[in-house]
Amino acid sequence: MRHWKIFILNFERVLEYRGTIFVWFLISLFHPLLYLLFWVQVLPNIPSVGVFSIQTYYLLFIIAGGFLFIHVESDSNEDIRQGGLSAFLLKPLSYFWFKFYSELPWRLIQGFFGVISIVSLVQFFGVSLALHFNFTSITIALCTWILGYFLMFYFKMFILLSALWFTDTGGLKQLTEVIVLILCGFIVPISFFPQWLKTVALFSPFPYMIYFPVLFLMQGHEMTEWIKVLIFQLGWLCIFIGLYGYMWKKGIRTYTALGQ
Amino acid sequence: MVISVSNLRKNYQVYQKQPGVLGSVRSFISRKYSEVHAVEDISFDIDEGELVGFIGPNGAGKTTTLKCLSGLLYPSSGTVTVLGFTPFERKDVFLKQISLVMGQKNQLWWDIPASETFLLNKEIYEISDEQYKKNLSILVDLLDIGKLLHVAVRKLSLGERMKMELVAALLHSPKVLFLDEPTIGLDVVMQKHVRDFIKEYNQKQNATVLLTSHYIEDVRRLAKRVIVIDHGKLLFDGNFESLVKKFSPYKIISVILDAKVEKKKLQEFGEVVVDDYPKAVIRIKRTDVKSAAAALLHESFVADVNIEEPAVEDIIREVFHGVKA
Amino acid sequence: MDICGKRGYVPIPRLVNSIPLVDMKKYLKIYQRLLSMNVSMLLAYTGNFMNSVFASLLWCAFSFASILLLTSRSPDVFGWSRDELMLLTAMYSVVVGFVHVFITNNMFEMAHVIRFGRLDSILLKPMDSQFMLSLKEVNYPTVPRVLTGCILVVIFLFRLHISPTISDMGVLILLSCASILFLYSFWFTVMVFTVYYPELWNLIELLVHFSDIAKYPGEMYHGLGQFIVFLFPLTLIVTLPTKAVLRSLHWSDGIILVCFSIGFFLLSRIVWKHALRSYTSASS
Repeated sequence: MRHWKIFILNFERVLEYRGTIFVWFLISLFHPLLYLLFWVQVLPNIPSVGVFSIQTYYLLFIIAGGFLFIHVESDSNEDIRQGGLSAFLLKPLSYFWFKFYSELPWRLIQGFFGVISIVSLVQFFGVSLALHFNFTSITIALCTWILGYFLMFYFKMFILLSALWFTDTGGLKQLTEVIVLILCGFIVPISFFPQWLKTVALFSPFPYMIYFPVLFLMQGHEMTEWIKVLIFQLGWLCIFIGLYGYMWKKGIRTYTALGQ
Repeated sequence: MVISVSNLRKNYQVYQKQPGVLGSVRSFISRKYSEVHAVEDISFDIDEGELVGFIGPNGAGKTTTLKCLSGLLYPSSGTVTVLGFTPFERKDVFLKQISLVMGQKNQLWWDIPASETFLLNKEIYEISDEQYKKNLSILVDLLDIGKLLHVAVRKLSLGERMKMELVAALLHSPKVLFLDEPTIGLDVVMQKHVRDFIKEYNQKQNATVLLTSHYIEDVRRLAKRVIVIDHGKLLFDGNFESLVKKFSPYKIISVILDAKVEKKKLQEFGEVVVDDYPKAVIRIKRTDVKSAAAALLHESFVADVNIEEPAVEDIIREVFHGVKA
Repeated sequence: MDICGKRGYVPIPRLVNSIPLVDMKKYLKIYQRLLSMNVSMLLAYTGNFMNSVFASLLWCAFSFASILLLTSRSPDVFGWSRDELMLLTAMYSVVVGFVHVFITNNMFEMAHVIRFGRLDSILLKPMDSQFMLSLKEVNYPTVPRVLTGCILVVIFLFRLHISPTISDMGVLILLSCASILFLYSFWFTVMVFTVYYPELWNLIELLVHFSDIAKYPGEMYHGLGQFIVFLFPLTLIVTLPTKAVLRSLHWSDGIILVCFSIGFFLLSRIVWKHALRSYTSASS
């Protein structure tokens, strides 16, 4: 109940920023379309390379970019460097959940816009989507989306918390942003990667945040693949949860010791 | 006449949020605005070298007026001239002769020493090397910040930062200085430092200073003349003594009692503000003070009587309260 | 002196008067100070510097890698050979990198300044506010990216057996400058909207994303026609300077780019003056 109220309050707050919401939406729309334009012309025999439909892939990225691309790390300056964290420490709800609920409305609204824009593309421009739906695949896909959301959220929280140790995290943010964009398969689908990079990517947590959730909406997958991805997601999530607990403990000690 | 304001008005459009989730969704689609009158029909003149205090509660229109005077806001109607210029045109010649210091906002670069920002201001205001050196050393001496010049601004305390802010604002020796809440958030000692400095600057440079504050103490210590505004309207313009006379028709008599008496007995003389044996404080109309004091002294239970002016804070509070009611 | 009648007439400040060229010397001195203050800022956070350099070089590397990747399937794309595309990518690093060094951070800062009402202290300075807003911060960590770009341009010119004449170089530099001026003016003009709608502060993010349009040959967008009319100049800013050295440039295209950049620069000044009038008559 308390969580629900906090969520609703945040939801109301986010609706105040309608201009900001609209621009974020344009951003999440723009890049998938640009990459799509590029790949559609570059790959011969489009729209499918083997079973892979580049068009469906990037259109789904409009939703994924809106819903799964979490931006909590941008608050690090206000929250940590300028001492805003102290206010959170005094409240009876953890910093983690505060951030979670202040981020979720943004993501839901962006994801919702993504769905609307895809539906209208299909409806009014006759764009076709190679989706493959049945009850099991939808359920599995939903699971991967939720797990992907948490993975991304934890990862961005790490970046946010890193401000507890480093004076300025601008460089770190840029660096991780690049890595995430590449290894999530945003710029180039991971199946197009050269073999070595593909191996690196699959052992990193990043494809499990966005790439696989998107992929699993697309086409029939083997049960073994589903299970493998879910296991990787859960494994990474466990590691992240442990790491977060450790970082938080250590970090708060430095934060309170410095007395900001 | 350095500053001349007549019939100044300033209105704003303010967006109104509707309550609740449904309200939020509704505002998301279409918004309602309402008009706020920040300043209504204010007129005053200030002469060269005057130090004028500007008081009023939060949202009274102090900052808005200062912004109109410094050229940051365009008046909705009315006339403003400062140093013979129309502030809003913000001509370089005009800007070089004024300065606005806002307590809550700063122009200093956060991560590097303040001296670097001073050098930048030197180029922006085209201050000659000689003049710059002279002004800087005067300011550094007055504020006693020689050691802090080369410390990154973020490492300074709030008070030290305010001093730096003042230096940055005064390097070009402005003829007119607008100070908006210069002592906000400072401790008592630092408040006094800043206050003394402002006074000294005003006297030495014969600069015209207009200062807002909601610490009445600031204004009382500094300014002979005060302008009181509330809800955008000018309530008073004159010196402190007449402010007290005008707004407080009462005086305060504090009484030391020899023996405990009923409160009723004391109430015969006036309104009892404090009744804390052996002390009592009674508020009495100015015209009745003499007779009441004499009568009190004749009472057997009274040991001592003392007639005082009411505290300025109280008067001001009453003024603002009275207007609201 | 009545500055404003009942109807709220606002005098329009003259445009030419406030163009920085008039007080060239003063502004050069100010910029010199800003450059050195930015060095001090850099020294305050050295660890961050290395991360930023690395991130910007990684972007650069990835641009090249994706070109290699895409040309591994077909030798030419959009009528450009692999080496020509590499040259284009190198030029992108130079032109857009240049803008990132001098402009991008300032646009972010501008949105921030307007959103949190800190424009006041800039407006009270006896100097051009557009100048201060546009050039205050210098992003030194991106300099290595620009230099890498420059070196790669030279390398790929060699590989393509092109030895540009002085006049080729002249056109290249002229068009690059026009591109940089265009990108700046376009961004600034758009960012001015945040004065009216501060909640649009993230427009700058969108603009930075838009600049990726220039990464690919202009030919890629030919099929789109009317869809991206307003982004059309962005398809030219890197393609045209590159074509200038590849000697496949149409004069008319070059002139269009120069006109666009000068036009947008003037537009940015007009829009800014207008926005300031609105800011000062309506701000809260």
